[in-house]
Amino acid sequence: MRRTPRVAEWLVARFLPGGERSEIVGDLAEGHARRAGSSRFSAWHWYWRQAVGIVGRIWWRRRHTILSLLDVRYAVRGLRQSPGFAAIALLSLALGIGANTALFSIVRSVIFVELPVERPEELELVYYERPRGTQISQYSSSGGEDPVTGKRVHSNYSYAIYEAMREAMGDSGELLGFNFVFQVAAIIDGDPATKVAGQLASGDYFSVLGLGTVLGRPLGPDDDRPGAPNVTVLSHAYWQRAFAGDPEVIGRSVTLNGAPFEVVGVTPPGFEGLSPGGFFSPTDVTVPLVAQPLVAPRWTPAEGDLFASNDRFWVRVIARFRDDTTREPVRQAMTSALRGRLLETEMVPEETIDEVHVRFLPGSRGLDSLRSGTERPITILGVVVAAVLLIACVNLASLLLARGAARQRELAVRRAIGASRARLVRQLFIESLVLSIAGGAAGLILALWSGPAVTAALTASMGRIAVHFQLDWQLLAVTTGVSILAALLCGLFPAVRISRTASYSHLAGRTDSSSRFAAGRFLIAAQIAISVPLIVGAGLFLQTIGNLDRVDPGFDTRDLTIFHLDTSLVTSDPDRANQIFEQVSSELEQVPGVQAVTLLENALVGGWTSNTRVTIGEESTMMYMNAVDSDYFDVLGIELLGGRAIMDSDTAEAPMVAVVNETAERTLFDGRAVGRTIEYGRETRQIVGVAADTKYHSLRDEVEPTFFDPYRQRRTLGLHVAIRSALPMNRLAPSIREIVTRADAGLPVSDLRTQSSQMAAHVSRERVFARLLAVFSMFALLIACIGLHGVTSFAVARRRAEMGVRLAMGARPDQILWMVVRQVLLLAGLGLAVGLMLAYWLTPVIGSMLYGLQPTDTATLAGAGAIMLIVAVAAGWIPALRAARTDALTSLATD
Amino acid sequence: MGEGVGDFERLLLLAILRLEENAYGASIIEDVESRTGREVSNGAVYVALRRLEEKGMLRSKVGDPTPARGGRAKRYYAIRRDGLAALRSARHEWEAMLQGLEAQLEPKS
Repeated sequence: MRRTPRVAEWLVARFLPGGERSEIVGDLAEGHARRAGSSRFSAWHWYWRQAVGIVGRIWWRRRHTILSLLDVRYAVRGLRQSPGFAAIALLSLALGIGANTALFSIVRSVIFVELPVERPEELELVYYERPRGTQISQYSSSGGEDPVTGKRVHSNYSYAIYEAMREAMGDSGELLGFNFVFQVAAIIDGDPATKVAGQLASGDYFSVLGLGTVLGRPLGPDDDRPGAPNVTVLSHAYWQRAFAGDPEVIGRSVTLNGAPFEVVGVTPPGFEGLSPGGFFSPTDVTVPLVAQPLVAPRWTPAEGDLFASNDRFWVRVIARFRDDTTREPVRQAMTSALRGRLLETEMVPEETIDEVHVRFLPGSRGLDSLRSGTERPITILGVVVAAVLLIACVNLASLLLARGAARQRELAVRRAIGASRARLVRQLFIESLVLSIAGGAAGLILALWSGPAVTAALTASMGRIAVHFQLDWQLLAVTTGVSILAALLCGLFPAVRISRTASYSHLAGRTDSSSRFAAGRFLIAAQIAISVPLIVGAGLFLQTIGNLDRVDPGFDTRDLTIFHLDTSLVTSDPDRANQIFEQVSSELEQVPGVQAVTLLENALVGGWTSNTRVTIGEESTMMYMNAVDSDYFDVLGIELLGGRAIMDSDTAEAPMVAVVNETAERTLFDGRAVGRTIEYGRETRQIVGVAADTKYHSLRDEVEPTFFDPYRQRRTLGLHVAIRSALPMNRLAPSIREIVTRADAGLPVSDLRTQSSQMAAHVSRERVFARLLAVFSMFALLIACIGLHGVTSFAVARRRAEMGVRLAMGARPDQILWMVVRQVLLLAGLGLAVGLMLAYWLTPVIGSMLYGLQPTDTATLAGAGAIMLIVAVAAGWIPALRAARTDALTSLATD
Repeated sequence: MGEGVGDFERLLLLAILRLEENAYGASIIEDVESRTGREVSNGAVYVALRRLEEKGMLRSKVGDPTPARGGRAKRYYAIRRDGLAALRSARHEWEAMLQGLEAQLEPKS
C-alpha cells in the first residue's frame, strides 16, 4: 500500500472530531490506494483535494466559533463604536488602493498600449545596426534607437534576407514579415475612391500573432504563393466604415490601387494593426506579400521583381519566441545570416561588416515600442501613484496611532482586570486586520466602479482618443498589500507598547503619550508635504493645456475644412496633377456657401512639415518650406508685411519666387528680405514678399524661418485643399467627394477634417494626461484632508477634560477654537513649507512637457499653497468647533 | 411520506442499497464514482451521509479496525425504512414524469 500524503492526513486528523476521525481517514487511505495503482501523482492530488474539502467544510461549519475565538466580533464592535474613525480609515484605504489603481490603469492605456494578440510579450521586433553610408533603397521604413546600446537601428530587409532569417530562426520560434503601404486607393462597387492604410503580410502573419477573424478566415500560407488569387482581410473598423458592418461582406470585392481583391475575413474589433498606440495609421486592409506589385507598384524596381532585388529593403520582421533562452543564440544566427547576405551582394564591404548586428526590440507594443516620449509620462505616473499610496499609508498610520493613544486607558483597564498581554496584542492585530480587509474590499469595489466611470467621462469629453479600461490586477495587489501591511504595523504599535510598559499610570489618566501623538502630527505634516508637489504638478499641466488652447496660431482657424489630395495614386505626371488641383479648387469655389479655396502642401499645425538646407548669400542654413497656392495668405487670413503674395502668374515657366515669413526676414535677412535670393538644390528663388508668422508643425513649437513657394513651381503630386466656409464639414463632404471623383474617378479624398478638430486632436493626449493628473492630486488632497480631520478630532476628544477646565476657568469658546485651528495651521504650514521645497526641487523634471510657463511658476506654487491651507483649515474647523462647544461640566464629569 | 431527498443523497442511498453489507465511506464513493463517471468530494459525502442519518433514513455502526486500512475502522451504513420509502417515491415521480418521453430521451447512437 502506497503511503498517503502525510501533511494532508495530519490536517484531516487534526481538524476532524474524534468520533469520526478514524473511519474518514481510513476511507481516504483506501481511496488513495485505489488511485495510486494508476498514477501516484493523481492519487496524491486527489488526496489533497479531498483533505482541503473536508477541512474547509469543518471550518465553514464552525465559522462562528472560530470568529469569536479570533476576537473578530469584538473588533467589529470596537470599530462600530467609533464609526468616525472606521469610516475615515476605510475611505483612505479605499482611495489609496482603489482610485489609485483604477486611474493608473486608465492612464496607462492612454499612453501605453499593448497589441491585442496572444502573449504579446513573446514578440520581438527584429531590427539591425549597419555602418553609416550603406546604399540601400528602403520603402516605408522607420528607424529607431536601441534602448540598450543607444545605437541607431533600422527596420527593413530585402526579401532574400527575410528568408535567410527565417532559416536562422529554425525551430526556436516563428518569424513574420510585413510592411505598411499607405498610398492605397480603395474603390467599392464603383463608389468614389477612398484612401486606406494597407498592409502587406506574410502567409503566417495571422498564425504567428495568434490573431483570428470575427468573420471569414485569416490569410494563410497558401494565399502568399505566386499565382494565388488576390485576397484581403479587412480591419473591423474599415469593415464598419466602408461596408457598414455588412455580415455578407465575405466574397465581396474591393479594388485596391486598381486591382480587384476578394474579401476573405475581418479582424477582431480591438486589433488596429501593429501600431496600437497610433504611431502609424491603423491598418484598414491586409493583403499577402505577393500582392506587392499590385498594391505597392511604386516599390517595384526598373528591372522588374522586387522579391529578387538585393538593394531594395521593404520587409519588416517580427519574431515570436516561446522560450526566452533561445533569443540570444537566434540573434547571433540571424546576425551571421544577415552579414552573409550583405557581403554576398556587396551591400556592405568586408571592412565594416562587423558593424552589422541584428537587434531585438520589445514587440509587445508593436512598433510603438520605438516611440519615444511615452517613458516620461509613465515615470511621472509611477511617481504619482507611489505618492498617493504613501499618503494613504501615512494617513492610516497617523489615524491608528492617534486612536491607539486615545485608547490607552481602555487597554490599561483591560490589562488591570486580567487580560493577558498576548490577548491585547491579538485584539489590536485582529482589529487592524478587519479594518484592512474591509478597506481592501472597498478599494476593489471603488476601482471596479470608478474605472469605467472615469473612462466613460473621458471618452465622452475627448471623442477622438481611445481610452480603454482594464484593471491592473498586479498593481491592485501591490497597493492592497502595502496598505494592509501599513495598517497592521501601525495598528500593532500601540498594542506592543502598552503591553510592554504595563504601566498603571494610564489608569490614573496621566498619559505620557505626547511623544507618540507628536509622531502622528509629524505624519500629517508629511502627508501635506507629499500632496503639495502633486497639486503643483496638476496645476502646471492644467495651465499648459490652457496656454496651448490660447496660443495664437497666426491664422484664422475658424470655418476651415481641409482634406488631402494625393494624385500620385492616379498619375506620376506633375502637369496632370496641377490640372487636377486647379480643377478641384475652381469647382469647389463654385459650391454655394464656400467663400474661398486654397491649396497648400502641409496643413498647418498638423504635425507634418517640409524642410530643406538652403544657401543665403554665403551662409548655409535649414529652413522650413511649404508649397502654396496664390491666394493662400488671403484665405488663411495671414497678413502680408511687405512685397507681394504668390500670384497665379508664378507658373513653372515663370521666374522662381518665394515669400518668407517674418521670422526668416528677421533672423536670416537682417530685416530686409524682399529682393534677396535663397538657393537650394539646383534652384534659386527670388524673395518677393514677407508674410506674418504662423505656427507650422505644432502649437508648442516656436515659429521657425520658413519660405513659401508657388505649388506650380514645385511640381508636387500631393497637396492639401483648404476650404473657407461657414457650412459644417458634413454638409461640404458630398460636394467635395463629387468634385474630386469628377476630376479623377480613382482619386480618393483623404484626411477630411476641420482645422480646429485637427488642432484639438493634436493636444488631446496631453489633455487627458493633465486631467487625470489633476484627478490624482485631488485624491491625494482628499486623503490628506481626511487624515488631518481625523487626527484633529482625536486630539480634541483626548483633550476634552483640559478644554472643560479651561472653559470652567473662564476661557472664551473662540479662544478654544483658535487654539485648535492654530495647531492645524502649524501642522499645515510645516507640511506646506517642506512640500513647496519638494515641488521646487522636483518640477523641473517636467519642464519640457510644459508650455508657456516655468516649472517653478510662482503663481502656481502660491496657488497650490493657498489651496492646501484652505483645505487644511476646513478639515480642522469641524473638530475645532466641537471643542469650542464643549460643555465644561459634562466634560469634567465624564473624565 | 417522509422528507424528500436531493439528487446527491439519492445517489448515496442507491449505492448503499446495492452494497448491502459492504456499504462504508470508501466503497460508497467508489460505487458512485464508477457508475456516474465523475469524481465526488469525500467531504460532501460525509456531510450528506450525516444528514441522511439525521433524517432517519440511514443507520450506521462502526466496524472492527482492519489492518488493510492502516488499522482504521470502517463506519458501515444501512438503509432504514424511511430511506427506502424516499427512494420509492423518487422513482415513482421520475417514472411518472418520464411517461411518453422515452423516445426523446433515448441515448443517440
